[in-house]
Amino acid sequence: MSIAIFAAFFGAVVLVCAAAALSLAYLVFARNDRLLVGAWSLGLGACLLLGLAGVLRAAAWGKVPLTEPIDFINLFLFTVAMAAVGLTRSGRTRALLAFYLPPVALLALLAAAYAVPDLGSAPKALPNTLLIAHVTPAILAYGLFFTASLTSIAYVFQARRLKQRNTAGLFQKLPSLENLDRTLYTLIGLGYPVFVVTLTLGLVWAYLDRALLSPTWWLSPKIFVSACMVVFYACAFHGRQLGRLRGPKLAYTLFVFGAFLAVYLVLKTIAFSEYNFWVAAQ
Amino acid sequence: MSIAVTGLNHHTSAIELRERLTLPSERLPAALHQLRRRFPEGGAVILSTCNRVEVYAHAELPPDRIHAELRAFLAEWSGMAESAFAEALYEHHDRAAVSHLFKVAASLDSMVVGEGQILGQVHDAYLAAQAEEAVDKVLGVLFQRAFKVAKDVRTRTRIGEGHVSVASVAVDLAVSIFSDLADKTVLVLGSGETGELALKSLVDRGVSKVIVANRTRQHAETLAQRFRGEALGLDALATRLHEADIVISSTASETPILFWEDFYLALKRRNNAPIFVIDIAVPRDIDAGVNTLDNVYLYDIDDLQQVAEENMAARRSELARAIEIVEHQADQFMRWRQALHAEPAIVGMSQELHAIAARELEKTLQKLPDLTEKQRAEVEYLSRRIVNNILQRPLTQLKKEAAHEDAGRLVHLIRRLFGIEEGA
Repeated sequence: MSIAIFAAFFGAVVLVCAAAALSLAYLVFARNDRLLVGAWSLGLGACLLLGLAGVLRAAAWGKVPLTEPIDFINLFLFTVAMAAVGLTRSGRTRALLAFYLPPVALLALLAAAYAVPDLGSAPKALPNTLLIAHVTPAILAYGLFFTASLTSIAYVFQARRLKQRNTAGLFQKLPSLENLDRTLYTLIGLGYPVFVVTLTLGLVWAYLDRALLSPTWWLSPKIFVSACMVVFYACAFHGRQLGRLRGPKLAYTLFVFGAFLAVYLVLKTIAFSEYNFWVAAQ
Repeated sequence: MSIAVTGLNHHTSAIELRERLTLPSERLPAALHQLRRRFPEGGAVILSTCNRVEVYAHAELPPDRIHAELRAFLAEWSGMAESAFAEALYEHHDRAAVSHLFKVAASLDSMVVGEGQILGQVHDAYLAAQAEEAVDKVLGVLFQRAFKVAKDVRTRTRIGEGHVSVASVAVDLAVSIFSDLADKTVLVLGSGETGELALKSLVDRGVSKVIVANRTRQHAETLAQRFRGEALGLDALATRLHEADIVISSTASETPILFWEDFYLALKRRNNAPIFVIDIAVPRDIDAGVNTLDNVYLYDIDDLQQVAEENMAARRSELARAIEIVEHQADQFMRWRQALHAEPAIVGMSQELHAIAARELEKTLQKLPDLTEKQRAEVEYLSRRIVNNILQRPLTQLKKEAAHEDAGRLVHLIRRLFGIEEGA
């Protein structure tokens, strides 16, 4: 089983790297739709293999794999890659693969370099089903948000080039502003309810299992970021729905909040890596 | 046999001359029939567009003779003396003719380099000639290669990217903002010619709703009628601006007629949905400050021309790469054509060996009358297999060598060795 898990994960890494290379080749070299079709097909293959790796780990250890960094990354990459291939089904938006796949490939390579030993070891068991139901959509919502941030880069690029009357080269290969705006709206429209569900389940769990937590659990940076995230998602979604936050404003906001999250993740890895609810409770 | 082209184009002649030499599609069948009579063992294709008139021929004549025939043909069909157009003519043969056709099909020789229309015209010319059975094997392969080369050039270079006319650039920009124009509304201010051209291009791309506003209501109604739109007076502009996804302005007003505040309010009323503003008027109709608003993209005539020129420059910068592809493919085609010379020798050699095998087989079978049908079939199959095995290596090698120009001696040697006659 172990070999199958490794094969599925490394197969996904290879496929996503190849897909990223093809999508970048489309942007850098001549316009050839076959490159994008190839990237899309390989991206779909990578998605399926990432999903398979997760399923195999669950089957091998009889636990939902969510606690190890590799499991978190695997589900995160699966979400982003799935969103990427789903959003680029149509030829009109397929060039966005060049924005989605290279970061996914980079993260997959980092995971392969640092977190792979965890693939062969048993994941920790989460205390209860409610926590599983809380963590899974959280990763999905962060994945969708990450995808929206990447889309916002494409939007900002296109809008700036249009304003600057610089419409040669890459500009002509990327989707229209309307398509990009629709893609952003779809992503936050999906991510927002998922994150609300995550937060609700998390609060219910915190209330039910309050004995396990430290009295200052709410001071955790994770809680602060989650609160920021839900406020941000609500503003972005409702702002866009009402037309107040549309186009460049929405794209810039997503981009800035994406950068904020990235900084938080780096800090968390460096400074707060030991902190979690259980440690606080002990 | 030679391939030759005789013709004239926008580089070598004025439009008045091209007009007289052009062959409209209804006259093509008769013209092709006549060319078939001139080159009974070969073929011909006539390419007649507004920018060029060219006749391609493949015939068993030296190039000079083919060119002379083509000149006479053009003179006869245009009703002009050869001397009237001789100076404007260019004549190429064999590799130069092949390379010329590839460049024409790939739009490297067009007035607007990289435009896509010429490939369709070359294709139509080929189909017209094929319909009149005027395309022989060599011309057939030549034109098929030309289509492939054109496609290669478009996919491997950026020669076809970006439009180069103001109206097309405006449509390109509209598509890069809205992607689907079918549900979009265009508001046209004034009735300038370029504005109308841009409107027509947008309507051709699917825009369904047109509003025309003009100081003179009658002018607005005339233009609106042509595009099945709605007419307005300029006084109603402020209350209807928010309906427009695309604004084309080309009035003769001396001062701007739309300002930052107008678009700010329009954006609010349309929930910040983007507006693309094309200001083709000189002096400008739209205050330049409008472009500082998010979701408003303002392009004046200079901006559109600049984009068109940048696109043109980008196409020109790809020309060297495109020519490299064309020349490489022209070499490939010439190698294929060279190899064609060896084909009779190859067929002759194969036939000769099979004939020897058949004769010897017949003698052997007469000496073995007791063989069953199955055994006879096996022996016949054996003899064919032996001949094919013997032929396989020399034939492969011969086909390879025949692609080189100095293959004549080898072919001659094969003919002598196997007693194949020159005409075979």
